Amino acid sequence: MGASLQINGLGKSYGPSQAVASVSLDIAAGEFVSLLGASGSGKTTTLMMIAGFTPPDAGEIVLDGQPITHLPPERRGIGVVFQNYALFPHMNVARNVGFPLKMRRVSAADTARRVAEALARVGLAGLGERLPAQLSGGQQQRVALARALVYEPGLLLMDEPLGALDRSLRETMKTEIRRLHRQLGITIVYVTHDQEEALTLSDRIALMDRGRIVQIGSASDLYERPANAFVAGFIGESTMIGGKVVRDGEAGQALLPATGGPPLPARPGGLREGAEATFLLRPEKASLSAADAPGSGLRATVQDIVYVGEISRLTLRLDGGPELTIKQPNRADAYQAKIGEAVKIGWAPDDAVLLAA
Amino acid sequence: MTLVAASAVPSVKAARAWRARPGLMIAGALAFCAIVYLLPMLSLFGWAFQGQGSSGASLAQLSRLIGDDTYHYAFFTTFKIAAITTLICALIGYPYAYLMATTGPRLAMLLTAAVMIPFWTSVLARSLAWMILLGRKGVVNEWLTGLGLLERPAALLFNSIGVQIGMVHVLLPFMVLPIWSILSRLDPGLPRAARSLGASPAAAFIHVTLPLSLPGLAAGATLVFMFAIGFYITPALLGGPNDLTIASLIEMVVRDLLDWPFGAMLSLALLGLVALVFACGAAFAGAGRIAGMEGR
Repeated sequence: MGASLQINGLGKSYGPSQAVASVSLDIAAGEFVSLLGASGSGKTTTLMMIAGFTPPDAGEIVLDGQPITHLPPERRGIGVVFQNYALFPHMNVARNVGFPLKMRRVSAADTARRVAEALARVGLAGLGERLPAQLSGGQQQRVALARALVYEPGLLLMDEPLGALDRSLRETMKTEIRRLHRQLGITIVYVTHDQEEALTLSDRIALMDRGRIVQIGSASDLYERPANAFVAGFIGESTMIGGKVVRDGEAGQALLPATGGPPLPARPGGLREGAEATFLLRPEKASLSAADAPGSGLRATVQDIVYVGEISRLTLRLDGGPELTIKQPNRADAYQAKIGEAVKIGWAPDDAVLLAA
Repeated sequence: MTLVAASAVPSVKAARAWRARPGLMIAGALAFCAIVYLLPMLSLFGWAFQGQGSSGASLAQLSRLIGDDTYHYAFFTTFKIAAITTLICALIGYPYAYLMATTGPRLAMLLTAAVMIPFWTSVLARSLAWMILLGRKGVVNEWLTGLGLLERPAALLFNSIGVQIGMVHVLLPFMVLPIWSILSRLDPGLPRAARSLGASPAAAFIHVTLPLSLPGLAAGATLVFMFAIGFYITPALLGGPNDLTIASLIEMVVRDLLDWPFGAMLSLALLGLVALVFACGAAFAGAGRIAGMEGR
């Protein structure tokens, strides 16, 4: 039931400013892809071009093998859920959900049946007579979903659909969207600035910056193997240290910090020795032990400790070198350091990444 | 706490006194309204229902009004002119307001200025200007004959054509502004959503934009109709002998015939009609929107 979507070299400029620059995406039928980025990164413009509201300057859009680049929105048959839901305030819920069927000249009896089904699917059975203004934000969101799904489109576009909801409702709706995606097998392109939403919902995430896709891949691709420092900085927390690549042992590599200090072991990337690079370490990957504990590790001093519940966030200064941030679980079997204490810090070289500077 | 409030902040105390008797604050305004609006209104009632002798009330003026075809004709003419004016204003005003609300900021500003600048000009000046433009040797006739569209100059003045042109020009802003006010606040995502759901641009307009802007259209139509019923200057200057409106009739009765009681009765009838139109409009559009207070 899902439709495949290919985007090739899509571009859009507003005067001198380039909103979207040569975006290409290949989305398989039934896939859930998020466009993630800060405001102004071009994610919404890309979505609006797919929906047909913004004519692209360059490139083409192909839906299920059919080029749709120049079709008006009403002939694309794509479902769209807008940020503020865009429910018609003068129509009750049933007429809102029935609107796309009315436009498709579906008979009254069929419409009534399909509207009832669509409302039941989003958990709103029996609320057809209400006006949108009489519904809560979460219910309005469900109506918008039912309306966008009632004509069984192969592709559903969602533009920051959870932005207007409070936190607990967001969690519920996330579960709901995941369930609908699984049940209907529909293809979803989901625009968000919230990395957690993107990480938990999507099969793949396209991280956008200044009109371009910086990296596309699964959540773990983006988190564990960021393509560059921008991706690493955007997704999750990290310590990044600039320096030069040096050899470490037989086949390993490490980064010699520009600020001085010991070489920092990392997973060997494609970088040659002597190249400028950025060392990246996620804070939960490092482990802490007493200074005199056996085993290898780098000497450091605890600068600061912030208790945040399930973990504590520690700032460490490597002896003669830069600072690192690490997370330490608040468990009795984890080493609990004190501010000012000399400790030893270690990590598996495969957990640290070298990025081209 | 009480001590501090009582001794240190006398202005707070004074403010409390005002708050306790809000009537005091608007007493001046109320007195002004009473003298300028209420008293004349009461004397209007007094004249209209005055008895023949020195005492008692009478319905004589009312039966005169009801019994005479001349007056029916004036009311009919007034309604006809008002209805046609409202219709033309709606037909021109809606697309105009739509363009104003949906176009880019520069053109929108130009369109707004084109409506508002005449709006701030005196009605008398504008009606006199039309007399010059629409005359037998006026600019309009010269263009029409010059372009070969007409063989001879058309009679555009001192008939109902002149009245309609003048009144539409004067009253158009009252149609445009309420419609624009609604359309400009309409979420542009709504027609867009309709398009995404399969509606053509025309269908999106008919099913979404138009119904949502009807209160603005109703408010504009009510305003235009109310003003048109009571309009005096434009029909008097641009109209002919067949365009006798209630307002002209009142002027004639009061100034030429010096029949103040009947003039008062005619004025009350006009007032009643305006109130009726307002009530109808308010039922549909909300009183606040017609009064310009943007009731929602």
